[in-house]
Amino acid sequence: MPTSLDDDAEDVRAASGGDVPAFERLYRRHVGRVRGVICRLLGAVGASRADDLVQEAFVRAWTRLDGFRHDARFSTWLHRLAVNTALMDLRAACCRPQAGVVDLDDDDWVGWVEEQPGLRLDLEQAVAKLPARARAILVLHDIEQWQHREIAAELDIAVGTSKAQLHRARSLLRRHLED
Amino acid sequence: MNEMELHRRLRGLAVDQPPSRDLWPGIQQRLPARQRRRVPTWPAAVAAALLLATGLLWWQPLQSPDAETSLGGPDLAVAETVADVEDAAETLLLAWTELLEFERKEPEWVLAGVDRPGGVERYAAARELDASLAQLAAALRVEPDSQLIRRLLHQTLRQRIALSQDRLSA
Repeated sequence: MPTSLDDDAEDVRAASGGDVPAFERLYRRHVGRVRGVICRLLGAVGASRADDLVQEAFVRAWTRLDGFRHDARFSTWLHRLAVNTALMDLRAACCRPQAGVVDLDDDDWVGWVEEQPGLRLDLEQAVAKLPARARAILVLHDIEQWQHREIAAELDIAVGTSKAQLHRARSLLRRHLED
Repeated sequence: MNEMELHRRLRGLAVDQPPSRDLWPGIQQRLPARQRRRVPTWPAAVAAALLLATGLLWWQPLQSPDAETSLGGPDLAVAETVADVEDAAETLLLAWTELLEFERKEPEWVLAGVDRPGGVERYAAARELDASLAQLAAALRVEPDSQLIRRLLHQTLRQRIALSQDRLSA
């Protein structure tokens, strides 16, 4: 169903005043895109948390509707909030007891390469298996079309670091993709 | 695979991924009650002071051979009276004080702005400008006749107001 900007604006105003059905319409209109970006950021290890984080993102959106300026697209605002929700979860991953969880500061390129010698992956699988920070940068830049300065601000890294990590992520992907 | 092909294929991954089950019930039960948020009323005295502050864009300090007044800008005209200059500085400081008081009373309004894109940076910039304004106010008490300090005060307050004005018009 195509998104109607007018419908969004009207439902956001109504939801700001406590109209829950209006917020439900916003949810149903945007949940697919929100979940898509969250899944891509979480990758293979965090996939089981995607639905929880989708719910978390929409609850945060409800509480922050007053901060939404109507001169911007609601979908863009919601998308950024979803990204932030997923990245916060990745940062907190180090505190969870599950084995094998990698956090946003994990930069284990060597380990990743060694695990997959010669294994041919499709593109989506390959992206999902990247180290957490590299995956976040690649997803945000090459899939979600963010600028490096926006990525750097969100991840609290230098623009140069974002560019370098993107370059390495792309190189790694090319080596492990199926033809 | 070349760079262009990789980029094309990555861009193709930007697809929606709807959940396999309806997540709405879980969201709905977590939604806190909302009330129509009161739009904070900008105090009339602050509004008047801010109008004066922004209207002083063309304010010209007293012409002086003193090198302290030279900032490499355009040629300076003579102000109406010394009293005008002093009153303007007091008005600027009053506007800043009332702006701070307003933001102190409306923390949710301030935090809502932080959540917007670039909001963190604007918030940090506002805090830096407040520190500068405090220093300028202190310097003006020591050197009340300094045109340089008054001009810096004016310029700094203009920037500080600009950071808040977009929220005022929201």
